[in-house]
Amino acid sequence: MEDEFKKSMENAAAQMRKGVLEFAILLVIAKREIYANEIISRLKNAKLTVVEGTIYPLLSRLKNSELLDYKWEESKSGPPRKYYSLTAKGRQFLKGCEEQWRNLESAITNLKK
Amino acid sequence: MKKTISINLSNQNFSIEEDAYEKLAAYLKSIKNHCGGADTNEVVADIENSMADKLKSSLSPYKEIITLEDIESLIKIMGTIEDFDREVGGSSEVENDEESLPENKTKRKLYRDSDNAVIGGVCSGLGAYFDIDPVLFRIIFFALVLAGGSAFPLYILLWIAMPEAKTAHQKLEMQGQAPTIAAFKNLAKTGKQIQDNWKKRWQKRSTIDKIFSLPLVILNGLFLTIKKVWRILWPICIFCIGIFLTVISLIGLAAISIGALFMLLFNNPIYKFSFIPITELTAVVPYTWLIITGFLSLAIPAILFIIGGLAMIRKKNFLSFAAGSILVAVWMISGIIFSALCLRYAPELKQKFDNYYTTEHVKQVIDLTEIEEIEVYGNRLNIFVSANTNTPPIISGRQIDLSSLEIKREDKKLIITQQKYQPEATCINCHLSTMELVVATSTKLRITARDGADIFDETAPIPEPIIEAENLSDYENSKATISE
Repeated sequence: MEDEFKKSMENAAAQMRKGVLEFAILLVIAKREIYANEIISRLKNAKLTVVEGTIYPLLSRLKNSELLDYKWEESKSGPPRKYYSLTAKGRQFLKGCEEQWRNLESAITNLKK
Repeated sequence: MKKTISINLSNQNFSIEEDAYEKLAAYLKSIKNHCGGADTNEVVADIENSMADKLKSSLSPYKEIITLEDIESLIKIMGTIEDFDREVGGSSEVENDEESLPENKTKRKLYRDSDNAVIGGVCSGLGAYFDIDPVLFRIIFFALVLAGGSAFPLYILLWIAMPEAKTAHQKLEMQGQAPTIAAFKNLAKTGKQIQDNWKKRWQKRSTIDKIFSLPLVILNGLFLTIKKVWRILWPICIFCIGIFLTVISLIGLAAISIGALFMLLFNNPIYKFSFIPITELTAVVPYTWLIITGFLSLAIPAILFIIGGLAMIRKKNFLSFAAGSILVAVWMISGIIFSALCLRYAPELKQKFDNYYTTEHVKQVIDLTEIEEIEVYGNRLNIFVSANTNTPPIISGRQIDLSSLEIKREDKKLIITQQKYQPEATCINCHLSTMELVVATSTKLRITARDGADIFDETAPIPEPIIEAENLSDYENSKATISE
């Protein structure tokens, strides 16, 4: 019983995280050009737990929908890195997301009253 | 100590331990299979890139090698495909699955389905291939067996012709499923339940299926018993054959080697063959070549048999294909040379035998003037009484044999005695052979044969023999005495 509860709790948390993950990534990239590992560490610093591998399909999808762009940059150690930046479309999309987030936030606070 | 492999990960060179490599390769493959979209390669490249970045930063001059622990912790960080599903796939999974199902169906392949087998899995394999309940095929086979047994050889034929679905990949092919991660996982789950769980399988079958499967089940039991017994007996058989083969071949090889060595070392005039000194015979032929090629053409098969026998005992092949080929080639060449030499020099050797002075066939005329009686002693002497009256009395045979005769005159009696022969120690095939004494009938003689000498008389068709025997054994020795 407890296991099941734990499982569904985890599931709910994962669903929520998934909902905001795209938004969170776009927010991080909006600040400055950044590469994947840095995105991950910023997300982690913000206490948004994330399975690192999942970032890459997401980034790829965002890039394919032309919200992101990237350029290769040399690294002092290791392979060259992809530095991501927002496109104009991405910026617009982010604005939309922020608006949606505000809506959600007010909805939840409203409901909590 | 562990073996390391050098890999290229995102254009970076890493030295990685073997087990770690396997783990990493499996992980990347699982991601590749999981994503399965147009941008798979890009995602995988991104992940590889990130992994390379992380791995590079974990290395130092004191730690140059990637270990299994490194990879495991890295995979934990990156997340497995299950995590991917939960975090990314999520709600879209259901619709995704429905969408991808038709895509995931590939063309079915015909395999034997041993997981659902009654005997060999032919019927269940056919069922899986045509996507029909295998009971239909069982009914058909059963009916055909009842109709006259024609299905039995057909079944055996199909059994041989249809490969068994052994690997997970083949099992998926059999069911016409694309080899995706999800399909493998599903297979592993159901496969575990089905595997070796005869009772469950049996219960799963419908009643009709059970009835029609019954003869097959009985056959299966019989077959399995035979297989079990055979599995126990077969290695023992192989082992025994192996030991037998090895021992026999070793003895053979030793004999061949010693023989060849002897023949090479004892090429000396004191050794004789059929009274001819061996050196005189070997001078005729390219002796060394004959021995070497003869040795090789006998020893190589022996060596091959020893290796084969050892392989049977140890269950391990010791002979590489190249070494085996070389041995066989040498054997064939030496065999051909040996046969050619034998054929080439055989007539010359025969001539040598025929013309050698001791073994040459000679005739010797005997003076029979005033002789009225001949007594012949010895089992190597045959007396021919010839109808031809002009024949001079002749004794014939090999020189060496004739020289062993003692011919004595005693008044009007001629006594021919075969001397006892003492064979020489250094002489092979040196036995004396028979001689012939030919006497014409015109010469009025009384001939007595003793000590095993035989008389053949052309002129007297049914001679009444006068038996001169002191006792019975004597009679048997000197079968008959004929008087003129």
